[in-house]
Order: sequence, then structure tokens, then C-alpha cells
Amino acid sequence: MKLIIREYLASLKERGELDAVLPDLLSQLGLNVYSRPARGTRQDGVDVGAVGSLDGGPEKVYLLSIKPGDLTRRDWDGNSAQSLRPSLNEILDSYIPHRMPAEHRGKDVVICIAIGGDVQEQVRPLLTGYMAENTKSCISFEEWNGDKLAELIQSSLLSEELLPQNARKDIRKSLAMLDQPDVSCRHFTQLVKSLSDVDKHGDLERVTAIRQMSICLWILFAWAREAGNIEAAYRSSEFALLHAWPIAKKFAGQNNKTSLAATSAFYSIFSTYSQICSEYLHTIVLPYVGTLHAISVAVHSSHSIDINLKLFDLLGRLGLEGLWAHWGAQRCPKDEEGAKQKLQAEVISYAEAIRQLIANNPALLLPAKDEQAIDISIALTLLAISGDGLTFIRSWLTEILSRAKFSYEANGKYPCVLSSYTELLEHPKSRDSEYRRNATSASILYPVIALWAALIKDAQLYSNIASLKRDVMSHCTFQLWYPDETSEANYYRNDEVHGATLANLDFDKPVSDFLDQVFRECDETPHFQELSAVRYGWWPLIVVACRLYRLPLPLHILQGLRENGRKDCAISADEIA
Amino acid sequence: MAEAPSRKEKLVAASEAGSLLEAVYSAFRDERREQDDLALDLADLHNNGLVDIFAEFTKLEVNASSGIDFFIIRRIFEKSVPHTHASVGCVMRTVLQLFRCAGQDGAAGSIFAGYINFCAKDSQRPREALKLIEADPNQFADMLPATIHAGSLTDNPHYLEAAIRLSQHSEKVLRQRAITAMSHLQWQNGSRVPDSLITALERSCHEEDDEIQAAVIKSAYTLYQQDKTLELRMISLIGDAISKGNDLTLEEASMLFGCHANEIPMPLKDILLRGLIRVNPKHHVLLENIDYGLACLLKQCDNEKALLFLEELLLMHPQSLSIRLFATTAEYIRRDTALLSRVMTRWFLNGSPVLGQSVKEMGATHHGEDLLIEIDTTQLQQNDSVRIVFIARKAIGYFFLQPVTAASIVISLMRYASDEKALEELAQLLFDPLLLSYPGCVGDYVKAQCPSEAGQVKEELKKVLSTITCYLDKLAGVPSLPALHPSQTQRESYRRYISDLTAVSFRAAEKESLLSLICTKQTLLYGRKSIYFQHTAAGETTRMEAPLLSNRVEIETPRMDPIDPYGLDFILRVFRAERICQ
Repeated sequence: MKLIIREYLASLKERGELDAVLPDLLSQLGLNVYSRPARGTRQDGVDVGAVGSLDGGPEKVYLLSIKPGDLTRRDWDGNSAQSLRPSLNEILDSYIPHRMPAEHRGKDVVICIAIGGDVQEQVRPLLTGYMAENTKSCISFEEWNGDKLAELIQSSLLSEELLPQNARKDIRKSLAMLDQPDVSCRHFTQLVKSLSDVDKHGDLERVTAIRQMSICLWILFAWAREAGNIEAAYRSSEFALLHAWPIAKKFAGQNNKTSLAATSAFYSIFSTYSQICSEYLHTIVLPYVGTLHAISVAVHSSHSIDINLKLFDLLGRLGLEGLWAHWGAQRCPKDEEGAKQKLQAEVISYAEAIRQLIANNPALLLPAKDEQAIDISIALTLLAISGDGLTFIRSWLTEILSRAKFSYEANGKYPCVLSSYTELLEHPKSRDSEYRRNATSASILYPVIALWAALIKDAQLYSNIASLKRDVMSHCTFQLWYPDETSEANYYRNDEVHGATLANLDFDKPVSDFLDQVFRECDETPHFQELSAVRYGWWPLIVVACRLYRLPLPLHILQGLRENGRKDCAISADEIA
Repeated sequence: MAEAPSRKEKLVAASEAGSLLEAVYSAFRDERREQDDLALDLADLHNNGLVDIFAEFTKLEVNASSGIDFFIIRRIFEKSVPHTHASVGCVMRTVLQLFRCAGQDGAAGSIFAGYINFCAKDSQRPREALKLIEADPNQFADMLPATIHAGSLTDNPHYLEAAIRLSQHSEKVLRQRAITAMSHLQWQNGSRVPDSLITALERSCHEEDDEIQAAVIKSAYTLYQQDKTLELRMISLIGDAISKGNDLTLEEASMLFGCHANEIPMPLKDILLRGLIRVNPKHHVLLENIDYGLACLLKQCDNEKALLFLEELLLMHPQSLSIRLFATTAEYIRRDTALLSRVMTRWFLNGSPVLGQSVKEMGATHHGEDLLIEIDTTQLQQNDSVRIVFIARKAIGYFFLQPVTAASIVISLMRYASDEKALEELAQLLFDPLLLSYPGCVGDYVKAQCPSEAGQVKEELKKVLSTITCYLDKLAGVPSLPALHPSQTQRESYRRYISDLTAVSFRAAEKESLLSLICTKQTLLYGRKSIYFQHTAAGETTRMEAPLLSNRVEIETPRMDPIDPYGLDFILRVFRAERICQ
């Protein structure tokens, strides 16, 4: 296990990556982290500041100066602002005398040189000499290299007492099978399930569980990155985030030490999740969305179903990332206008990426599975909030409907409710009416298109859905889904089926009646608003859950658009959620 | 040591044991070359009262459980009959029984040859037979043509008179057979056919009966073969018969058209074609006859008639007819480059799916090097860019799975297109979907073709080649992204799926393979040679070794199919279905 952790630490290339792990580690070690790293703002050489006692010794102040990877001569005393020696000098010359919190002055100080890898041999004498020269009675130095950090992580977070044997096996298997993401994810989800099973435990154990999930996720990500395939890390991060939430939500709104630690640990997972998503999209998707057929070809399959499944999956991922950016912009304090604008620009760039992805990959013009309406909904929501997406939405949905209808009539690969991959490969297996009716026995795709047609006031599109239902798919149960009172308990972990379905959708009525009908359900039950993710301002978690567990996106997220429609003006980003 | 029983003894013993037919069949199998002797033995045994071959052969059934081959054993009977001294009635009954037993088989009537030879041995026999037929037409009418045949060998006038007389008989069945019998009359070389016989036929032609009209056609043509001066009357007679008759008449007409295509005069061909256009598309035998006739017609100077007929027939029955039912004609068209160009251009221009599909099917039977087709410019006007592009779209729609063929048509259209816009449209079609889907084979073809082109065509070809190269280069710039690849499970499922599909199609192909009919299948698990022993006539065996050869076929699958299956399918459907509004 230690080797795995060691390898993981060595692979953390960016400064922010090692920074992200250490505060949790220190907290888990029992230290009180009073200063956390913030990008671009190094406090006189100190990346992390913590106080407390390690191994039963006297209380000391631990000042960490962090350097990812191996310590080379250049890292030690080069021209870079991140060079270690100048940082250590700053600590000695500036931080300890002037910036140390008043309550910790007078305590012994340990300056920890935290390195993800090793100190290279040619630097060793320089470092040893520096440490010997600057060690004083109240100031000492410690070298926390990859080996030491791995040992600390193992003993504090992943020890046999804290991480059962099965869980340790799961993480090893998930790492070993990274080139087969399905298998890797299966083991990682087992691990997360076992870690998150803390309902009967105390608060400290719960915080530890979140931290364990966080560190395991980071280990998985680091290894996946090294293996050149972060698919498993992406899926596992969604799972871990959603499983961490039910633990973290118990501490939400509280201000005690444990709550802050839990919140901090949840943020760690969220941060890792964000980093994985960002890396996934920025390395795998975004560079190629503008090239005709590039992503379709990159799926590397001779069967259209593989390309179709992957592209709709990517569509959902892009949409979700855009929604997170929108959420981030919404949460930005007023004094961080720059950050807000940056996030808003991200929203627009993700929306543009979706447009390009669709334009350059025609598989996205016809879902193979009805449930791909979930990915379509996520993308549509982002397109709507990005401001100028209405024309595109109209033409996209019109094309989807036209293709779906033609495919059904021509017995092509029409959208179906079949779920197994083999069934999808063979679809349509038969021309007989019984097969066709079974394969299209229910749908959320067409109601979603109708809903959006109504929201964007496209009467023709709406009427096409109505005629499709009336003339071609009268056997198909068109439906929409709403959370119910059991959703809060099951949304994030997907333990049980939850929610309620509105099946008697009447498309022969005017558009306004249809909107009244479907949004009335939102008004009549408080369950969506009572979801903890919504109450505590983390509504994109609902979207993550919908994407991961293949649940339709609750209409409540679109309620704002409906209100907007009533006012008959353009949809604005503020109306979403 | 007891002597082995002779064949006759065996047959007698078998007859006593109630298994004569099995014994005859067994004897035939043992002594294949002595079929005539066996027949003579049987006749001899019958004449000596040792066996009753008529009683025995009456028991013969087509699907006998004993494993006897009906037609082989019937043939032995057929050879025996002339040598027997049986009564005419007995022979007639047995022959009829064996004739009817054969059902619709093409060889059903061959049994009458034995009966004719039997009758020919004694001039009284056909006379007696005629009496029996007249006395009981319902039972014996089917024997009339053979009886007339046999009788007219020795006494033509008598049996000519009988045929004419019976063609007016009150019993319809006898009238029908009498008209058929007219075609069986035997004439001396150079004899003229009397007017009375033609008059009788003309009279019969007024009867509203399909079988009679069919018989009129057959007899009229046979009589024409005997006496060529009858051409005009015969053509008129056949024309009348065809116009009045139905399926049987058309079947007779189709046989005439198919089996005598090289002999029948052109006016008669015209009449037959006019009549055969009414053919029922479900009657494949008729279609086969027509196919032979059309193929012969195509070989003759005026192939336009054949094409027009085929075109009209296909258009009349778009749902039920296909060029596959005219395999000989299709093969002839396909082998004649100019004719194929004409058919392709004309039929694609027509826009009808059945004609388009027919062109495709003709192309699909081509094997070996890619089939290259040029347009027939006589079917087009140079400035008609709408039709030029229309043909290109049809070519792509129908020849998408033979992309080089499609490309050859498009490029030949580019050469002919006079305006720039049409040329660009054609170049765009060459790029999408042809080059996009088949950058390999179509790319190679266009590259090879480009230097031999000139002017704007060459420029456009260079442009599309550059566009496809640029497109492919961009895709090649995308690194391998394992995160996007299908999972191991999915890949395995896909392999299984493809393997199953391949196995099914292999089995289907194997089922129709000629090799499976003529070869024994053996599966060799190891080695690179097969060892076998050849048996010589002298009873020696020679050890032989046959080296094993691998057989490999490569095809380029359209790369747009997985990328945009709907879009590709839709556009091909549109190309195939679109029509030009007149």
C-alpha cells in the first residue's frame, strides 16, 4: 500500500496537487491547520501552516513549504519564484518574526520541506547544510519526502484499522485495472461504498471517511493520469463526490471544528472531482470538438453504437461542466468580479464546445437510447443559460425529432428503451410490431423535446411531437419525472428507486396548458427544494446524480425558464436553478 | 456349388415376393449400362406371363419410401413397353397412371415415348386407342396427342381427319387434347399443311378457354415449322390466342419466345412481347422463358425492343419483379459495356426504384476488378445539369457498396457536364459521401484517374483529393484517446455479435454455393497439406498430396457508417428515391 501511495505522491506534478492533499493529511494527523494554500498567494514561503502535537510530543507550529516531484538543484535555488531556498529564507526572515499568528508565537517551529518525490543527490549536501546552519533551539527542520508522506498517509488515513482489508484490495484492483475503466470503477465504487457506510459512526469517523475517499480518489486520479486513461477516475470522482455529500451535508450550516473539517474534506473531494473533470475535458474533448468527426473517429470503433454512446456521454459531461461553471459564477462574491467573469466565460466556452461537438459529430443528431435525453437535457440547460443558444436548440431538437421519426418509420436505429449493450448492437432486431412497440414502450426523450419546444416557443416542433404521439407512437408512454419525499435519501447514493412519474401528458392541448401541467407538479410538492443539495446551494450535485445514475433532470431546474417565458423575454442565465 | 441366379430369375423371385420394383431398381444400379437389356428382360418376362409389369408399375409412386427413383424406374418401363404384347387399354391405363403420377415435373410426358413406340409397332394399336379415347374421353383424353403422333407416323390423313374432327367434339377435354394433338401430327418431309387444319385451329381460337388458346399457340407454331408459307396466318392466329388467353396461354407463348427465340420471325416476336407483358410476376417459369427470349433478342440487331419490354415489365410490377428473375438477360447486359452504359443512364434517369435497383443488381453480379461504367451521352443533353447531377446521385445511391463503380460514373458525368456549378456539385458528391466513406479504394481510383483527365475535371479532382487529404490529416493528428474507447466488455460483445453475423452469412452463402453441391466438405485441423489416395480404374491407389491454400477477401467498409449511420442511410435513401418532376 505504501508503494502505491508513494507512486501517487511522486506523480503529483503540479504544485496545487500536493498542496491539496497535505492539509487533510495534517488535519487527520491531529494538527489544526490554520493556514491553507491559496493559488498564487504564498504567505512568505509558507504553503500550509498548522499547529498541534505529533506522536504525543509537545505542541509545535508546523510550517510547510511544498515542492512537488523530486527536489532538483534548480528547484532548490533557481530563478523560479517557487524555488525552495528563497522560500525557506522568507519563512525565517519574514514569516516567523512577522506573520506568525499571535497565539502561536513562542511555540517551537518545525519547518517541513514537503517533497512529493526525493531529494536528488547533488542537492542533498546543500539542503543538509542549510538545515544545519539555520536550526535553532526553537526552530527545527524536517524533510517530508515522498516516503515520509506516504508513511504518514498510510498510518493516518489508510491504515488497516481505518481501511479494512477488502477496501485495500478494492483500491489495489481499481488501480490495476485502470486500462479497463468499467472494472476499475467497479472496484472503486465498492471502496467508496464501504468508506461511506458511516451512518452509525461518530462525527470524527465520518470526517475521516470523507478524507479517505478524497485521498483514494487522488491516488486513483494520479495513477490514471500516469496510465494515460482517466476515464475511470472521471466516473469514480462523480461517485465519490455524490457519496461524500450525504456525509458532509450533516455538517452543513454548523460552525464547529468538526463541521469545518468535514466541509474542508468535502471541498477536497470536490476539488479533486473538478480537477479530474477539467483535465478530462481539456485533454480529451475540447481540443478536438472543432474538428469534423475527430471525436467520433477517436472512439475507435467500427460500430455506430459505441460512437453514439460515447458522444452523448461526452455531451452530458460538457454540459455538466458548464453548469458547474455557471454555479461557480453564481456563488462568486461581489468583490471577485474577475473570477466571476472568468467563470461566465467558461460557461460560454462550454456551450460553444457543445455546439461544435454536435456540429462535427452527426451521431449526436439521433440518440440511440431514450435515456440519452438526460444528456440532451443537461446540454440544453447549459445552451439556454449561455444566452444565445435558442436558434441552435431549435434546429438541434428539430433534427433529432425528424431523424427519430424517420428512423422509426424506416426501421432504422430509432431511439429505444433497450439498455443492454448487446441488445443495442442488434437493434432493431426485428421489424415486427411487437418488438418495435417493446423497444419504444416508454419515453422521456420526446416529452423533453416537447418541453423545450414549449419553453422556446417553437409551436411547430411542439406540434410535431404531438402528431408523433398521436400518429406513430400512441403505444409509447411519454413521461416526465419528479423527485419525491424519498429522493433526498436516495438521490446521492442511488440506493433505491425514488421519485414520481407523470405519464399522462397531453400534447393535444395548447402549449401553455402543457407547461401548466408539467410545472404544476413542481409547485405542488416541495421535495426538490428540500433536497439538501438544493438547500445548501449545491444544486449541480443533482445534475451529477442524474447523469451518473441515469435519472431524468428534474424540471424544477428549468422553472426559471418557464417564468421567463411567461414574461416573454429571452432566457437568462439567472433563471436557472 | 449352386449357380448364381440370373437377373430374370431374380426379377421373377422379386415379383413373387411383391418387390419387383425394388429388384428392377437394384438391377439398374448394379448394371447401369444395361438399362436396355433390363427393359427387354422385363418385357420378355411379361410376355411369358412370369410377371405382370403393368400391374407392378401401376404401384409406382413418386415419393416411394423404398428409395426407388421414380423417374429412373419409369424410364425402364418406358423402354419395356414397346416390346410387350399387352392390350392397348392396359398399356394406356398404366402409361396414364405413370404420367399423372409425375405431376408437374418437366419430364412427366416422356413416358408417352414408350407408348408411341408401342403403338408404332402395330397400326391397329393407335386405331384401337383412338376408339377407346373417344369412348371414354374423361379417362383417356390425355392419350390423344401421343396416339395421333403414333398413328400419323403411318397414316397421316386418317389421324389428321381425326384431330380436326375431335377438335369439334362435344367434350371440352377432348377438344383441348385434339388441338394439342395437331402439333403432334407427323408429316412427310416437305408436306404442306392442309387448309382444313388451319381453319380448324382458327375455329378453335374463338373458344374462350385458356388451355385451348395455349394449345392453339403450340400447334400453330409447330405447323408453321412444317409449312413456312403459313407465316401470316400463324402470326395472326397466335396473336388472337394470346389476346384471349390467360396464364396457360402466356406460358405457351413464353415457351415459344424463350425456346425458339432464334427462329421465330420478328413480327411474331413483337406479338409475343405485346402479349407477354401481361405475364403474372409470380409465375417464375414464364419469367425464365421470357428471360431466355430477351437475352436472345438482345444479341440480335435490335436490342431496344428487349430493353423496352424489360423496362416496361419491371415498371409494371415494381414490388414483385426484380432483375434477378432475368438473370441471363442481366448477365448479357452487364457483359456488354455499351449496353450497360445505356441501361444505367436510362434507368437511373427514369428514377424508378425498381429500375435503379435492377442496375445495382446487375452491377452486384460483377466479380474481380472494379466495374467501371461510363454514362451513355446519347441519353442526355449536355446542358441539362439537373439530370447530370441526378444520375450521379442515383449512381451513389445504388452503387454505394461498389464505390469505385459509383465514382467512375460520377467522373464520367463530370467530363460531360458543361457548366461549372454542375461540375462542382459532382465533385462535392465525389467527396461526400464517396471519398469520405471510402478514402482507400475511391481515393486510389481518383488518384489514378486524375492524370488522365483534363481541364476543369482534372482541377476539380485535384481539389477533392486535396480536401480529403486535409480532412484525413486532421484526424490523424488526434492522438489515441483510450478514455473514449469502448470498454473491454463492449469490444468482446461486438466481436461476438460480428462473429455470429458472419457465421450466419457464411452458412447462407455456403448453402447456395456450387462447391457444396459438387465437393465433399472436410475440416482439416492441422498441417499445410492434405494427403489423399486416388483410385484408378485398374484398382490401384496412388498417394497424392494437395497443398492447402488460403483464400482471403478484403473489403473496405464505409467509414461514415459508424460515424453517421442515420445521415448516410438517409442521404442514400433520398438519392435512391428522388424523382425529377416533369
